[in-house]
Amino acid sequence: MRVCAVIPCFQQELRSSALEVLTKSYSLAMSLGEQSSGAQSSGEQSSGEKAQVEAWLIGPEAETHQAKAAQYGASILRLMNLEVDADQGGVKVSLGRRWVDAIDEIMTQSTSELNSEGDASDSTLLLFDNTELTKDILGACGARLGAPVIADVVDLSWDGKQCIAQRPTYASKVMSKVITSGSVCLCSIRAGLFEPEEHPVDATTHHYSAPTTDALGQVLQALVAPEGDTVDLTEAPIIVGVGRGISDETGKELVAKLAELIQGEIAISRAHFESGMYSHTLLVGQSGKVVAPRLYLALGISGSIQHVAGMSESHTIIAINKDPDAPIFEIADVGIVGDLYQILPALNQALESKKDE
Amino acid sequence: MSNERTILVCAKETPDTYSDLSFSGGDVQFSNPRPVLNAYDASALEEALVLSEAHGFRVHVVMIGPERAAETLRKALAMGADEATLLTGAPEGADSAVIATILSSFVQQFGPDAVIMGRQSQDTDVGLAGTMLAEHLGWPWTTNAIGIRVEENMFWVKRQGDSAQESISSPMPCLITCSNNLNDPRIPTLKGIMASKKKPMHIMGIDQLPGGESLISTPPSTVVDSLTPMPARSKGQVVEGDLETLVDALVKGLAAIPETGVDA
Ligand SMILES: Cc1cc2nc3c(=O)[nH]c(=O)nc-3n(C[C@H](O)[C@H](O)[C@H](O)COP(=O)(O)OP(=O)(O)OC[C@H]3O[C@@H](n4cnc5c(N)ncnc54)[C@H](O)[C@@H]3O)c2cc1C
Repeated sequence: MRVCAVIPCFQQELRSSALEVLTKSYSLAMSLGEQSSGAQSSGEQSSGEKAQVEAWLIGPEAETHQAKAAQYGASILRLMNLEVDADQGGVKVSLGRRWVDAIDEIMTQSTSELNSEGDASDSTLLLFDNTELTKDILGACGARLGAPVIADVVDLSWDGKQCIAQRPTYASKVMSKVITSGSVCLCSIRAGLFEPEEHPVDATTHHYSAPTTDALGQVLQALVAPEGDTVDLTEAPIIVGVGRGISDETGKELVAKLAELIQGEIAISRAHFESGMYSHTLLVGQSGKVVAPRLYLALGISGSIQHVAGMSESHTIIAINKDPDAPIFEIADVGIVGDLYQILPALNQALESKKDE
Repeated sequence: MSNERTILVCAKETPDTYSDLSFSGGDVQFSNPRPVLNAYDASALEEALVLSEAHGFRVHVVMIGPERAAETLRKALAMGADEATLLTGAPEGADSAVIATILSSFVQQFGPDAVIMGRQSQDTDVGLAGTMLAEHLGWPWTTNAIGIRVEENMFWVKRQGDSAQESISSPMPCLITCSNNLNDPRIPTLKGIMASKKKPMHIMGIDQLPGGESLISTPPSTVVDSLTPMPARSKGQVVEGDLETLVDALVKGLAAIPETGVDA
């Protein structure tokens, strides 16, 4: 049995969602019985009870992340470089089709290697994080491999035959238990829910070359990367969510100051997707990112269910809103009723004077 | 058929998930009993209509659903689509893979120049059917579109990626899935509603499609076993009062989280 963490390697740093996928892969393999030591040659391992943790490191930085993957419990590393279609300000992107071809190729090659080593595995689970990159390819991968797919799960168990997943539905008001079985299953897991844990192992490395992809005439013409640092909201411990209640440059400056003072990253509601005051990548909610920070500070956000679906798993929620009946107060641990344009200057001053103390 | 170019919009109806929800006997009920057009598909349709106005595409909407869904599909015609097809008789518990296989059979027979659909369904948020369909068709796809234009016989899609916006050109035929951040879908006008009554709506059994028998008899590979209420967050304290009271409460709240670096 194989549990394979599929890890995109486009940056120097591994996203923490990748470490979460590795951690979850490791714990699934452990729960299946004894974990292969990885130090032995794979020929000595019998198939059946044991589960292998594999990391499929795909992208130009695949080599870079080998050590990290082994540190987080992957005893078999499968590396593939991938052609990059656009590179702008450090952000690298490959067309979805290349990804599907790459995963298909590693699946085919590794299965035939294992078979020829007399180590055939009867079942394989592929785990992905739940980024836009994954959303762009997961369905196509499932169709290509003829394998069932469960997307965006918050919990998962696997006995080598059956995969039982929990996933939120109906704007995160209902938990749905989904079951599938197949010799290959694909799952994507929601970020921020599995604390990354180190489980250092000795790993063996296999290299694969990227297959030639027919892009079917498709061309990645340009990338527009946001200026400055590209923050990964799903990793931020403190998030300052900005809604329609912040409506001008003065407000934006107040928010920036506050975010700096509490070491927070800025996120937005859809209101600011429309206003154009912030980068679109910062959207949180049903159609944006799903986050689960230590603190979500909601500023002038009404608490629509589509926004809440993206942040209700936050550890603590503090909300400021001038409307005492705003739905956000139903889920906030601390709700502050008042006008942001009065509160924020006073709050920033209070925090600054505390710093100076 | 004329040689007019066609955009096929794949749409579904969903419960009105934004109305209040209650549980009865392990099943979910919504206070608004009337199904709605999936919001993401409404954005897809809106975009198809805009492209049609600019470039003269014919817009055809296909929906898989029970006969009752004709009412929701009629709304798509009222928004401005030219023609619609309702595919009935989907297998019980059809999952994304089953839906994509059915749509693939329909698309191959129909032969549109592009398929545009929502990036996910607003009830289950699964978001797999689009790229499954593209893979079955062997077409290029682009997901999570926040801008679409047609130029030189190509679709140019601006896609919202994880840390950048990607501009991708695809020849026809191609498949695009839409973010709801792409546009605000129009509300049908009275004139549109009247006109929709005269527009062609075909109702067709899935078993009538090429490969129909196997389409209706293949069991879904993923099964929803149970639905349970998510533990709701409990309401915390709500602070009202003068500015000083509010700021004090905030500082205290922030100081309770070590990562903020605010001292208690
Ligand atoms: C299919 C679909 C998907 C969607 N996906 C998302 C999503 O992913 N993310 C998302 O955010 N939205 C999403 N939406 C939109 C969502 O329904 C709301 O429209 C949006 O979240 C509202 O943003 P808001 O809370 O900032 O604005 P509003 O709802 O307008 O709320 C503004 C709040 O600010 C308060 N306020 C105003 N001025 C002040 C002031 N001076 N001081 C203090 N408080 C003030 C008001 O009392 C109000 O409560 C989606 C909608 C649909 C249909």
